Amino acid sequence: MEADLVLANVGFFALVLTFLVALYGAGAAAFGAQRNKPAWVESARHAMLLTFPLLTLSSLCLIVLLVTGAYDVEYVASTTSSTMPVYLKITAWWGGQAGSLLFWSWLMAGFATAASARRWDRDREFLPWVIVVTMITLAFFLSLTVLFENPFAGLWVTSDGQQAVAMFQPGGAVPLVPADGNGLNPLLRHPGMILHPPMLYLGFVSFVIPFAFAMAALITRRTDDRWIRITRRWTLIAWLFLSLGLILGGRWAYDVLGWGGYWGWDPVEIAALMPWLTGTAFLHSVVVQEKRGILKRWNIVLIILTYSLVIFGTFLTRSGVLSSVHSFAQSAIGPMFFAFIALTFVASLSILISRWPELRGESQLDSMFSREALFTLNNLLFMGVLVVCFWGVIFPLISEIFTGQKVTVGPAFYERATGPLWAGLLFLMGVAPLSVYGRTSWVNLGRAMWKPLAVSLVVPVVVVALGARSWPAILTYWLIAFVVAVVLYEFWRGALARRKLHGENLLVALGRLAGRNRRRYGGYIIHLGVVVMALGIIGIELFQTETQGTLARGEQMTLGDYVMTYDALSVFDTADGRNVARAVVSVYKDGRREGELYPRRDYYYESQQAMTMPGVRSTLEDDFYVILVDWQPIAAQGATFKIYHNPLVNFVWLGGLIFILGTLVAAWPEREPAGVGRPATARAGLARA
Amino acid sequence: MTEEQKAKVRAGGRVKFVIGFLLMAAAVVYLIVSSTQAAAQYYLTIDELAAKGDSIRGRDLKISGAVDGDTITYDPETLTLRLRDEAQAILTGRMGDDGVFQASELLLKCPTRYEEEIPLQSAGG
Repeated sequence: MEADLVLANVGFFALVLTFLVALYGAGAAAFGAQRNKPAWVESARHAMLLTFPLLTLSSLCLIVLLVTGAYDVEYVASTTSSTMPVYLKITAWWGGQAGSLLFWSWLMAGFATAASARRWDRDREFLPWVIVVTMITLAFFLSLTVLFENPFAGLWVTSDGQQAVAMFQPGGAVPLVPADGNGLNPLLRHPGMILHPPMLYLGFVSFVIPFAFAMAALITRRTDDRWIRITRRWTLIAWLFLSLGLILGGRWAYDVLGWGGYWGWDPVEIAALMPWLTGTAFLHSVVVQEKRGILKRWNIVLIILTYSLVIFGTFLTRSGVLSSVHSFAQSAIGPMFFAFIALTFVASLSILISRWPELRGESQLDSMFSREALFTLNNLLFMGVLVVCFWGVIFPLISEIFTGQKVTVGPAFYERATGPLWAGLLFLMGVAPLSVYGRTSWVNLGRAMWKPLAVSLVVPVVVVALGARSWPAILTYWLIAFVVAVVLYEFWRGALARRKLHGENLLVALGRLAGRNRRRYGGYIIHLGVVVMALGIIGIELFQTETQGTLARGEQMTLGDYVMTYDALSVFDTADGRNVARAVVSVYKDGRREGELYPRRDYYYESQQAMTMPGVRSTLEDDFYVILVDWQPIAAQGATFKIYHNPLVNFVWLGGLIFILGTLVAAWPEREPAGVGRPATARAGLARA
Repeated sequence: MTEEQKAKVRAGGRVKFVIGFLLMAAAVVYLIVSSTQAAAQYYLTIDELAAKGDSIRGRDLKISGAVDGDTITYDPETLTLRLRDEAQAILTGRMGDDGVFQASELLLKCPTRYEEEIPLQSAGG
């Protein structure tokens, strides 16, 4: 108990100290930059470097409190319990509101430190403003923990018998030490808890860095693309983390929530998707600025939007503003978030507007079929999806304000409205790699396109001949085939050119090709990952079948080519406070026995919550997904099962893995310094980027 | 090219871009409007639903309310309902003519873990 008190106090004071240090850092950096006093900037840099060890200390205190079950600390009592395994107790760090704000802050401090750990010689003037932006963001999140959602606050009983939560002992109150905690919501007690929230936060927080550099470039009137080049790798990795966070969330929902799905167009899911949309658009349009010197203002707008959406996304998850499966309790931090987003959005836009004339483009959009035009179209499509998502999310609020009646939109809205936009983006993924910069015509583009296009058209023909009738599926299969054809074509042509020029064998040529132009070829691999995911999505969205029924022991039920028999059921209590009902079923496909599955239902006594764990047989071709819906304790009357058949769904996760590979290729440090000219390939005709 | 010619080219490029942008914007607006009409659902509390009366029959709705634990029936043949008393639920479906709400979808909110907060709609039934 004494130790708990010490740890809680140390943790809290470290928080408060970091908050003050961050404020000092922001102020000193701004002052030093304005008055041209490098000593102040250096002091600010030291302050910034101090934030990470301080927050690490604070976080360690919280983790120790969580792991040792210090239930007199309110956060520990609400997110852990004695029956939870140690790894889950550690994940409780981000399992609740207060702890996750601390986790966010710790990541911010870490990334600010990492971003500043570089040779600043050429860009010394950026440093103070990067410190200002990162420290203001950090200070904001810390202010939420210090003032509103303190993870170290204790539980007390006041003199009139009320329960109270406070950091310091209220007058006349006595500490309350519950015998056990409430524990994490059972839905969260899953290995997914280790990866999904941290991955998402990593993505959110790392996007602050390119934003900070953008602001620094604006403020110091640097109109070149230096800030983009510096943050190129950051942006890629931020994008990867955010993508993985989203995919892992989908995978977790698929594994555990038991509705056979992976994405429900839940407002909180959309809140994480929106910065991904602007982030992906940004990834593409910065290439145009680097190559053609245009879209400068647009890129700033995009990164401002991404930053605001990152904070907005955190706000949506935390403030209880929208009804959603993810929502945490309503809390006073809502207005704080809203104010911060409004202030930073207005401030950053104002700076952009003040520099507007200096950001004039160095060339212009000559042709609608040029690469820069296609990249711009890509951005427009992403913004279109963003507008649809934003509309869907705020529509209930708007309708309530204007009509007094709350109206929501369900998944059907998002699917209908974004479907054509995604299709357009898939098509662009095929066309854009074949385009060239500058003046060109549709004839040139057509000439570049016709071979992969012709090859890809084989697929819809074959698919229709095999009996497919769903036109969205046929269209998407064609688009997928088109993109795959283009990517393979590009690798093929590039490798052939190298072989002609350098006499390398094909494999070496492929390796060197990707090595010399990592961003491009890594990007192609990522595009392959996207279409692989698209294949999985089509499979499960358009062709999922399901059935439900009650079986007596030994009886069977059928779904498509599959037959499932109900073999056995056992019901037992576990040591960690669960009642488990576990069924054994055998699965047969086309008459051949494929194996056994164990769908089960875990009932957590302390929180009175049940969790279904499906039994799933996974192959690349499909998933056979069985949920135990109900059973009779006296087994004579049998058990009720719900079965889903999800074709191609594992391509979704496979696509995610390909994302990782592609990003590694794109982000791997190059041997030559950035900006040095590369030997031209022998390919005559089409100009290469 | 003379300065005047350069300016013309620049303006021409801008016009193309503006037209393209407007077309895209129009397409997105159309998609949003048509999809909203197709998929919008009223979001009501139980009291609001009762107040609406007949005007709401047959429309797609989302209803938010608290579960009255005593009235949950349990049918092992088709569905199992294991709802905790006072848990907050959101139902999607239509109001039938017999005054019974036919739900096609049931969403239960994660129970709050920070306070002993009774959802507002369950106080007083």
